[in-house]
Amino acid sequence: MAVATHGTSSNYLQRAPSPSGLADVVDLILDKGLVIDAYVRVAVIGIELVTIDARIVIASVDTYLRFAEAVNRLDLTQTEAAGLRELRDGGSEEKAKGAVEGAKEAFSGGNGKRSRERSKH
Amino acid sequence: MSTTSRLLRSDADTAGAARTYLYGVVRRADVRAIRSEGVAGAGIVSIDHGEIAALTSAIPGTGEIRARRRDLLRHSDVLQEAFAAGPVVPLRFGTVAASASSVVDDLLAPRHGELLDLLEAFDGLAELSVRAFYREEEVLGALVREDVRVGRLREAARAEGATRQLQLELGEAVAKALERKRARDADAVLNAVERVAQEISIQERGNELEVLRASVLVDRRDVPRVDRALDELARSRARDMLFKYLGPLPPHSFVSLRFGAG
Repeated sequence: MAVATHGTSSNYLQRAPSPSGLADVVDLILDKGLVIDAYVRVAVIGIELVTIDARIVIASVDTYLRFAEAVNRLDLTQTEAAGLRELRDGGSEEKAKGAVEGAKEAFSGGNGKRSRERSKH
Repeated sequence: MSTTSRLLRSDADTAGAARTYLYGVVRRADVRAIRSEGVAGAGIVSIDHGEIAALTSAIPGTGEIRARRRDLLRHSDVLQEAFAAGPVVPLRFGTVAASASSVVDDLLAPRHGELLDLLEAFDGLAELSVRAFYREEEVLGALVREDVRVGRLREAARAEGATRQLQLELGEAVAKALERKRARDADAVLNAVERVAQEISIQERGNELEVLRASVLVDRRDVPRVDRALDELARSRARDMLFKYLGPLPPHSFVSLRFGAG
């Protein structure tokens, strides 16, 4: 019999049963699925731009400078303390929810905007 | 073979419409009422031919078709609803046939056998979409602590009068160390699901903090096993990784056929 221990009795990672937002469906249906050459394809205004923008070239001077800045800014004592705290407390339900929300935010166009801004410099 | 059209929503008006928007193909026996509205708010019509059926809706008018963002969600909703009743071969968003008869003449009739085979092959299977991301501060902190070169360059770059060249060297070292770490962590995610996966499709990542973007084709009965494997991984990596997990979906990423004209 399974022993329910603290922090393991419920699901940590929630599976969304169906796509709920634009970010979810863009990747699934814009460039995947059966293609029939005999038929016309309709483009959605504004979407193509976002998907192209999101594809970032990693090996670029801009990226290196951004990484350098981010690493220089790091307060190592703080990230270390946070890590230890997390190890000590184990996972919690709220964190799992936070994680999913965070991922959603990361998708919802923010990426594209960020990469556009960066490429201006 | 017999061909019929069935209106799946009684309030839809298709009179006089020429062009036909396509969502996907299902087995004729699996056709059910679709409550979701179609592109531009139209009702869903099933065009049946032989043992298969295309889920479609009418595109009113003759002018330019301007699909809105909302229509992407509608396309997805229609496919999700059909998928609840049986296997679906999803079509790419934005596929429009010149007329309802073209759906039969150019797709359902000439490709009947192939489409039916595909539907049988996908019966009972589902796509699960998995994405993993790093939490930026945590992953960069780990690189500084674990990668000797990154740690050393960071000390030098933080010193007064550090040159831009030094910043670039630091950034490049971070990017390379991150890529090595990412490749290992992406493998860890794939290892967690590959035992139950019938097929795995790895997609292009959106940004440098994305660890992996992949779709897994699984038997629907194995979905709880994937849930458990990913749950365990997400729990153990909660400190530095975020996950986004979606499904079961029609096999968008595993339909690689391209049907040419004729």
